[in-house]
Amino acid sequence: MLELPKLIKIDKLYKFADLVKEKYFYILKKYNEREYLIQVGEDKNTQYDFIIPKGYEDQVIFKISGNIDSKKKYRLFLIDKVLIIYDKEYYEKKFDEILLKNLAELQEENKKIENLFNQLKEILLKGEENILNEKEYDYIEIEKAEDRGIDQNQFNELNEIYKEADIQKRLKRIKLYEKEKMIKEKEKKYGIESEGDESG
Amino acid sequence: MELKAKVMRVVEKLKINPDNGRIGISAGSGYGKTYLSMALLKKGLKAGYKVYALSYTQHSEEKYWDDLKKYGDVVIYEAGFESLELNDLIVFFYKVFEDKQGKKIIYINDLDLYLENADSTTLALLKKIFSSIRKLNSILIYEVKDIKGPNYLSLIYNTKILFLGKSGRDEDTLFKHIGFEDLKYYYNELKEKNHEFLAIDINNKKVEFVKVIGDEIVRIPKKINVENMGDEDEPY
Repeated sequence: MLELPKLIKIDKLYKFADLVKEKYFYILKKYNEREYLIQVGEDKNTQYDFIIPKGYEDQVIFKISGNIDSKKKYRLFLIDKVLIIYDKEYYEKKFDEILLKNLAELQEENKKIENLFNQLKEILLKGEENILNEKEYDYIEIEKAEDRGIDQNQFNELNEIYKEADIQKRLKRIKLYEKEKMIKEKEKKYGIESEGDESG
Repeated sequence: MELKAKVMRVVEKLKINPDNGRIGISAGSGYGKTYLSMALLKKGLKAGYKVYALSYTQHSEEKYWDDLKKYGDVVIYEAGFESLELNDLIVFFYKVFEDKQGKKIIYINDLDLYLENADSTTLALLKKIFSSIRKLNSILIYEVKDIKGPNYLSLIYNTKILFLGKSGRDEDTLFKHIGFEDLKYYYNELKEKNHEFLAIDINNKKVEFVKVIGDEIVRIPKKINVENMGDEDEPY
């Protein structure tokens, strides 16, 4: 009896990147714009549901030639929180071409960087101040929101304020923006999609 | 060769929570208020707060809102009235506090517009709302182009942290009002083009130079070389 492959859901970009790091994978099926069935390498036991988290759709970029093809090998890298999925064969050839072309120039750049580093090291050894300052770091922290109690009497006090401000009259003038906007966005993103396999 | 050891000053982070989270951001147009606000709001969303924003210019700032929504729950109200009044701001708070949960960040991106013609009664109502925010486990962030005149200065009583950038005018009255007159030495060192701000912890009379890099608000190490600066520690 055939054993069904174990399906595990991955819904974090970095987890997906870790999983297929330095490996290739197949995109067996595209359920919709956010959900894909993938397989790492040739082992059918390494099939996963890859789900792009809501709100992160723009952070996944497909650099592929033509449509998603379940027979093609894909690779990816994560750079600056953006996941770039590319067509292994086509793009790696391109990368190699670029690398070869620039190798000589890169070696020249390395020399410049080495010189700069030596100059900085020299300054540091001389103990000069104000050249290499403290490392910039994040100075502001908003502490984790706590589920602490709310003084419910405050709401009564607020209600008194609203009475003074003739709130009902004013209420008619303010527009809710988010509800309308969100519905339109959702329709645009998900409402028109087909549920079938679009991978061909 | 003798190697001089350099002693780094350890600077504690400025931690924001509902107790001190009444935050003002003041700078002239184009000096980076929005970037600073967005960095704060992203931090707030990551820390588990829900953001309620009152925007006067929401269409021109749509890209910021779209980006912000990736980090969490954001509700945006539009202030699209012909004549803006402080009572409209009170309506916004009414809508915000219909949601009786805490853990909110309330953000007003152009408070000037409402304060311009505020009468003293309505201003008093607003002050009461501002002072309620801590007890409602929430944080307030407001932006103004300038803090001038009694309507604005009265806000300072309810502001615990002020991010002050260049405004193109003399701020001595504000510094006196805060009770921290040495701020003028720091203010004079702000670089306009760099979108630098002073992060002023009003209660604790602490100040640091900061600027936004990516989503971080980083401290900029600077030496203030002025005489008669009192007991100010040397930065190194």
